Amino acid sequence: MSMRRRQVLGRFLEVAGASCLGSMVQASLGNGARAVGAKRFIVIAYGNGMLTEHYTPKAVRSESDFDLPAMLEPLAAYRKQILLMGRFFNPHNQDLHGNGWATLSIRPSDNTGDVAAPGGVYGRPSGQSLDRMLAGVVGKDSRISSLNIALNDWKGPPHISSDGPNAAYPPHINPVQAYRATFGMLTGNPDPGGAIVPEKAAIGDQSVLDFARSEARRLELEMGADARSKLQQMQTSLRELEMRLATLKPAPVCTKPAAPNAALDREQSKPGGGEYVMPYGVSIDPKMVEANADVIAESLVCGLTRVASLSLLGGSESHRAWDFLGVGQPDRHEAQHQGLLADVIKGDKYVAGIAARIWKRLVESPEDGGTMADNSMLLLINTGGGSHHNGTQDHGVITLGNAGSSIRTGRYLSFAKGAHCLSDLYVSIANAFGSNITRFGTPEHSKGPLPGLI
Amino acid sequence: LLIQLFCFQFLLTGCSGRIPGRDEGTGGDGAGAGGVGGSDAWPDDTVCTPSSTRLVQLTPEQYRASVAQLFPGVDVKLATLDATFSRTGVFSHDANGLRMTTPAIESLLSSAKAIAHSAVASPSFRYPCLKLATVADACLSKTLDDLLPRAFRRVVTADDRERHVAFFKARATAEGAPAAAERLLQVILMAPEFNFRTEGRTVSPTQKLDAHELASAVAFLLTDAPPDPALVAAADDGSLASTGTLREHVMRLLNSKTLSVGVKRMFRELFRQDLVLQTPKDATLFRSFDEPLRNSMVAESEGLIDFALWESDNGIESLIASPRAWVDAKLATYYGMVDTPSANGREWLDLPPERAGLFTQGSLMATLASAKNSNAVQRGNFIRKMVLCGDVPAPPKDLMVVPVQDDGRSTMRERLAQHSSDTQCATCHSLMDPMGLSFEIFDAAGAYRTSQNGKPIDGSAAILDSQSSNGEFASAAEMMQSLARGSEAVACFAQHMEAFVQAGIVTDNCGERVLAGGKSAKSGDLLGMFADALTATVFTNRRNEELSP
Repeated sequence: MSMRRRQVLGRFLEVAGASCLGSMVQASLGNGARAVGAKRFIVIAYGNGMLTEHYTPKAVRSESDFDLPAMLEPLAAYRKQILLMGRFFNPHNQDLHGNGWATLSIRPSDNTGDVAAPGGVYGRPSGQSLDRMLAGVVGKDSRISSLNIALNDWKGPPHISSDGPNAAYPPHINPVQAYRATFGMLTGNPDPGGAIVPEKAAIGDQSVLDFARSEARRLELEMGADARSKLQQMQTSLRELEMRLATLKPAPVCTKPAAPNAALDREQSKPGGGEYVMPYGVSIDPKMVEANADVIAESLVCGLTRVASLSLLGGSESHRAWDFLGVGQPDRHEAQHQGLLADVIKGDKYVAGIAARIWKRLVESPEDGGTMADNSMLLLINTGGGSHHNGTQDHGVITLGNAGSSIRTGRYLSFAKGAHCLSDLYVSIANAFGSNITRFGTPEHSKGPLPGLI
Repeated sequence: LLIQLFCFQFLLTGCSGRIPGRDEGTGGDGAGAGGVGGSDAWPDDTVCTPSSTRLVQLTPEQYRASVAQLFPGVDVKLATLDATFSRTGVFSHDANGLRMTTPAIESLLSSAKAIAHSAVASPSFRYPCLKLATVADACLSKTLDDLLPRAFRRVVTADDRERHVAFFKARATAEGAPAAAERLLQVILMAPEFNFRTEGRTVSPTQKLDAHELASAVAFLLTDAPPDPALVAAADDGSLASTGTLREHVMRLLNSKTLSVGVKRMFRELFRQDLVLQTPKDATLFRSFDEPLRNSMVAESEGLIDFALWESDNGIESLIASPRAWVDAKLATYYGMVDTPSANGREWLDLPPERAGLFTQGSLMATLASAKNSNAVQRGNFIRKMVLCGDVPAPPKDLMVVPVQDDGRSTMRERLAQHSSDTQCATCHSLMDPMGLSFEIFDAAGAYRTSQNGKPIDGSAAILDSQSSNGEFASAAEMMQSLARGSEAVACFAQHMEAFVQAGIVTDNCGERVLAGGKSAKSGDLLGMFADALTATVFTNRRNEELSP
């Protein structure tokens, strides 16, 4: 029996206990994997703390007939593309203030839940995050394997993306920096779909990157294994940056967008761009968040990347006010603790609106007789933030889109509490994007693909 | 026994072979560790296995210091690396924490371009002949002979020069000479050998770091900057290979408060000194906890660390339990001190009896608290980790952790009573709560208080399940004084220091145990401990695991 057949049978046996449908799901996902090249994955992570009411429809008449929860109202136009799922658990997000890295890696870290202790709130990543894993599948031939942007308002690592143990994948911290990395080195294309060529200076940049790469190769020969892996990562990164400087033949709907307002070239917590401002009580700047979303949307439409993450988490973001929504004090964090559902929903509804903003751009962009949204999936997930933020046992997740008919949407799936770790969902998503993995994160918590997704 | 097995993870696994000094109950076997010269009989650490060869990436601060040394006058703020070089370990130079990801390379390229442009445009550019329309070979050779050894912090080869000459000429043809000069500087600033320091690049199974690697390791650790001319000269002439000379240079740098930027960073990062500037506080509850007070608290911490390093007879004891503090009038008033300094100055003044040393300072007390409430568990956990080097595991997976809320009626000690009555909680909370509750006399902003919700606070303390520090104490201050006198805190501090000098990669606990057994450690001589650590075999040697038997 070939390994592949054994794996398929293994999956069948794994899933059969829960649902025979699951094995068919797996087979279908395998078919879905053929259209790898065109798929896009977006994740929006936000913090921190959930109230189950966010994700629970008030009325559920059937799996596909339910009232959207209030926070999802901005996504009402895409109702048929929504998959609302509840009651996942994340075993590694239970410390007092959670383990941000676990959100997308389902791995423990050395986080202690103690800001002042070694490692801080977020510790170090100890596994690869879902977005970076998919970057290696659908993003490997892209100019940018994955575009990661986060509100950076803490001197620790406020992001969630990682390439493996101790290998954080840092985000761009504002839309201007993200734009510089995506469209910044390319000249405009007056005709939509016309070639976007690198600026003249970028050719010289390429020579610098190429030389640095050869120097890294040279040093690699003289070093031990640990050092070699660092130098290999450096070479990979240099090469990815070089690829961004090549001429781009974008999709017909692509026009190089205008650069974001230069005033946004700052950390979120420096409203005036000056000295570091204590983030507590400083309001989230919606212009910053929306411009971040726009850079992501345009980069996807123009084919610069196929994987993107937008982290609205930040080490202290949840302590931030949302003045523009009328949520000042108590802030989002306190509102969650105090069970002030109306205030929490205001913030979360805004986040759903950001998801809608990106999704709308994909829906409006024709591709292969349909739209780009047809081949995409957006994952909207709360980082949880530990058990006292209700972030361990009752994790609700929202996805948009079916990633090229790989999953069945327009449904509400509520699993038995504790029945599925988030890793099961991530296995299914990875399968939908062409990966053959059967486990994700810590093996003891990952049963395999989530049953009933198709 | 169950507690020991389940919760208590002191590093008891030792190195193979004899561990001199502390393990034998002797005071080491030599002269003062702070002294200089080859006759110092530093406890033999050759029984320890050296760490493996590795690369250590420069931190943003170290990158900027290197740029400043390479191109004097250039605005180092042009290096905007911080967001993509964020640390994930205890120390910012943690060899595991920094990675050359694509975003990091992006920021590196953008920084290199800005710095190169500024350097070449500067009227004081060190290599003006590079800007001429036609650059003579002699100019190029002279430039590279000066630039490359300083950039790569080693002796360069003819091959190194030739590669850079070829690159320059290619860019001069493509972009013209002035642009090529910028490109040359860019490739140097992007080079792996500029951005990493190597530790053991030869191919033998175990080898001593070469003199230039050693010079870089010492310089970056102690000063957060590349080797100074004296250190480079000692590497060039080979004298740094002598332990005595190495120690001389280490002590020379350590004895300079100005140069020892890296040493101060160790304490800042270890004890999260500057977090008090950011820690959120409810402004309605703590009106006086304003920006100037936060700054005063940071200055107090820095003052104590400076004193422990350079003034005190026993630095560790001073750090943990100093009865005096470096305060200004604002902080002295906040602490309720009898004396206050003059209006704009700072003075060493006696602390009130409830405070002793770093761990009762307002900065740490405020950091180890929420915006509104003190946090006894967090404070106890911090002492357990920082002073006793103990570990407290995460709660059981099926346990819902719910922080104890202030009910407005009881003291924290009363509320945490559940932790001792519930066996599931008590197993681990006994490691934290009995210590942490003694700090309840300090509110969430670090101010002294005697009551909570109308009830008197019981500020007594207890240490359970430690190696040698168990006891009951009348107060947090008394507990810290006891810890300061004991050997466990010294051993723990040696562990922190070893983690710092080994860039977060400690193969086993052999080095730290030897360090703790030395005379410097026994006398609480922090500078001597640094010197011991940087001249120890585990620091000066590296092992190539692939070649090791």
